[in-house]
Amino acid sequence: MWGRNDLALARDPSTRFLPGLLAVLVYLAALAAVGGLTAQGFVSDWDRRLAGSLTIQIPPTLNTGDDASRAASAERRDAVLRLLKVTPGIADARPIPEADSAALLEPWLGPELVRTLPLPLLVDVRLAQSQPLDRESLAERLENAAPGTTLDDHARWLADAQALARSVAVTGLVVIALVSMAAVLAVVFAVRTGLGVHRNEIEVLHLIGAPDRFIARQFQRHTGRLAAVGGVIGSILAIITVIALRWTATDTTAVTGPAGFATLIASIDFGLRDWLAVIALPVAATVISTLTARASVMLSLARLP
Amino acid sequence: MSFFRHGVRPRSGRAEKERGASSQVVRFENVFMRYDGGPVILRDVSFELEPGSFHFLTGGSGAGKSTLLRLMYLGARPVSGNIRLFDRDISGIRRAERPAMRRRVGVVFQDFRLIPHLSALDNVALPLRIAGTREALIREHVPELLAWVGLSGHLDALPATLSGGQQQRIAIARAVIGRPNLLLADEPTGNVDDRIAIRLLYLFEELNKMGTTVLIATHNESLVKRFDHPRLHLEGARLSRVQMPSAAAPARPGNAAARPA
Ligand SMILES: Nc1ncnc2c1ncn2[C@@H]1O[C@H](COP(=O)(O)OP(=O)(O)OP(=O)(O)O)[C@@H](O)[C@H]1O
Ligand SMILES: [Mg+2]
Repeated sequence: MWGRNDLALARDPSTRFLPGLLAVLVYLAALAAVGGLTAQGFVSDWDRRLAGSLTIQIPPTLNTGDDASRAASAERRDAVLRLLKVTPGIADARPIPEADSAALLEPWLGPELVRTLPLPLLVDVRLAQSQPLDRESLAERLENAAPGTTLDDHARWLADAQALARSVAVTGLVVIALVSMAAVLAVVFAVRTGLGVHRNEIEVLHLIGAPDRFIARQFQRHTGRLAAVGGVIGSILAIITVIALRWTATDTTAVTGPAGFATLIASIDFGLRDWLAVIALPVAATVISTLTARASVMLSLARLP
Repeated sequence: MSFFRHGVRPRSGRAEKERGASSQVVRFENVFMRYDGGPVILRDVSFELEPGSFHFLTGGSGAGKSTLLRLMYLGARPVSGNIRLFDRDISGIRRAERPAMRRRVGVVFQDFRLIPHLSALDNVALPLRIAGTREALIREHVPELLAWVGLSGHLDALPATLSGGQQQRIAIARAVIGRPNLLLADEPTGNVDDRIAIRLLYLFEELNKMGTTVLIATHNESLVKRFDHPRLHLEGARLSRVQMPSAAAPARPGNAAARPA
C-alpha cells in the first residue's frame, strides 16, 4: 500500500485517461510492427529462395511445330546444359519441363495459344555457395552456344519487392515513432496536471525534507502502472486482431480461391519476432511512460523557487 | 517515550551536536523581512538559538511569529540580513541541499499541513519514509508515538475525520518522529485543552533533553508561565529577549515546575 499511494494519485482524474490512451497507442504500434515485420519476412523469404538461383531462357527457333525445329531446340538446350555443367559456381541446372512453363502461361494466353505458340525453354539454375559465378563470361559463352539466350537473376524484380517492403517497414517505424511521441505528450500532460492538483501536498513534502526524486517516484510508479495496464490491453487486442484477420483470410481463400490481399494476410506468419514485438511494446510503453513521468516531474520541480 | 530512546532518528545528529557544541543552531543577524509590497514584519532582528536550548516565541496576532519560523525552515527568504542554520549561511544553500537541511528541522505548522488523503499513521510516518527508514521500525514507533499523544484509536483515520486538536497532535507527532536537531512549533497547543497542552509540552521537553533545540511560538501565556524557558518576544517588528534565567542551558529535568516569568 505504502510507497505506491502516498500522494493518492490513483484517485486523480488527470491520469484516468492514460490506460485507455496507451491501449490505443500500443494497439496501433503493435499492428504497425506486425505489418513491418511481415513485409520484411516476405522479402527475406523471396531473397532466400531466389538469391541462390538463376533462370536461363533459351528462345525458340522460329519455324515451329516441325521435327527439325524441335530437334534444333533440344540441341540448343543440351549445349546450354553441357556448358552449365562445366561452369564453376553452378551447383545444379535443371530444365523446366515444357508442360510446366505452359501451365504457367496458360492462365494468361489460354490453352489454345499455349499449345501452338513456340515457348522459350527455361533452365532453372542453382548456384553453388562455395564458389562465385562469373556472370559476364557465362552470358558470353551462352550466347556462343545458343544465340539469344538470356540470363535472369531476378535482381530487378527482387529490388522492386524489397523497395516496397522497405517502405512498408519504414511506415511501420514512423507509426511507432509517432505513437511514442503521443504517449510521451500524454504522460507529460497528465503529470503536469497531477503536479498542479497536488501542489499543496508537494509543498508540504518539500518542507518536511522530501527531495524531488521522492516526489518523482510517486508519479513515475503510478504512471508506469497505468501504462502497463493500457499496454497489455492494447497488445492483447492487437493479437486478437491479427488472429482474426488470418482466420477470415484463410476462410475466404478456401471458398474463393487465391485472391491477392487475402493470400497476403493468410500468409502472415505470426512468428517469434512478432510475439517478441507484441510483448516488447507494453514493456516499452511502461518504460517510456515511467521515464517521461520522472523527467517531467524533476524538470517541473527544478523550476520551483 | 521509547520512540525517542530507541533512536528512530534515521541519521543521528548527535555527532554533529557534540562537534559543534560552541556553534549556533540558528543565528539571525540584522534580518529584515517583508512580503511583496507588504509592511515590514521583521526589522533588524538579531538573535541566536544555542544547541539544546528551549525557547518560547510570543507576540500578538500578526506580529510575525509564523514568518520568523518560516525563515528558519527555509520557507521564505529575508529581504536583507544574514541567517545561519546549523552554521551555514542559508543564502548559500543550493536547492539540492535543502531537503537534507530541512530533514534536520521538525516543523509543527500553525495550519497543520497534513496530507489529506493519508491516514494519521502515514502522515506521521512521512519523515521516516522520506529518510528511508525500515518499514518494521516505522510500524513499531509511529503507533507508539501516536498512542502517546492520545491517538491510538485513530491510526487509520483520515485528517478530515478528526477534530482540530487531534489533527494538531498528528502534526506534532510528524514533526518530532524523526528526532530533528531543531523543532519549530507554531502554536502547537492552540486547539487542545490545558491537560493535553501540558502533556505535549512534556513531549517537547523530552525531545529537548535528547539534544533537540526547541522553539515554540504561542499565545498561551499560562503555558509560558508554567514552563520555565526563556522567551523571545515580537512586537513592532522587533524581537527582544524577555527573560534569560539560565542562558543557553537546556531545560533541566525537574525545572518544568511553574515559576513566574
Ligand atoms: N504569505 C504571506 N504573504 C503576504 N503576507 C503575509 C504572508 N504571511 C503572513 N503575512 C503577513 O505578515 C504578517 C505577519 O504574519 P504572521 O503569520 O507571521 O503572524 P503571526 O505572528 O504568526 O500571527 P498569529 O499569531 O495570528 O499566527 C501579517 O500581517 C500577515 O498579513
Ligand atoms: Mg502565526
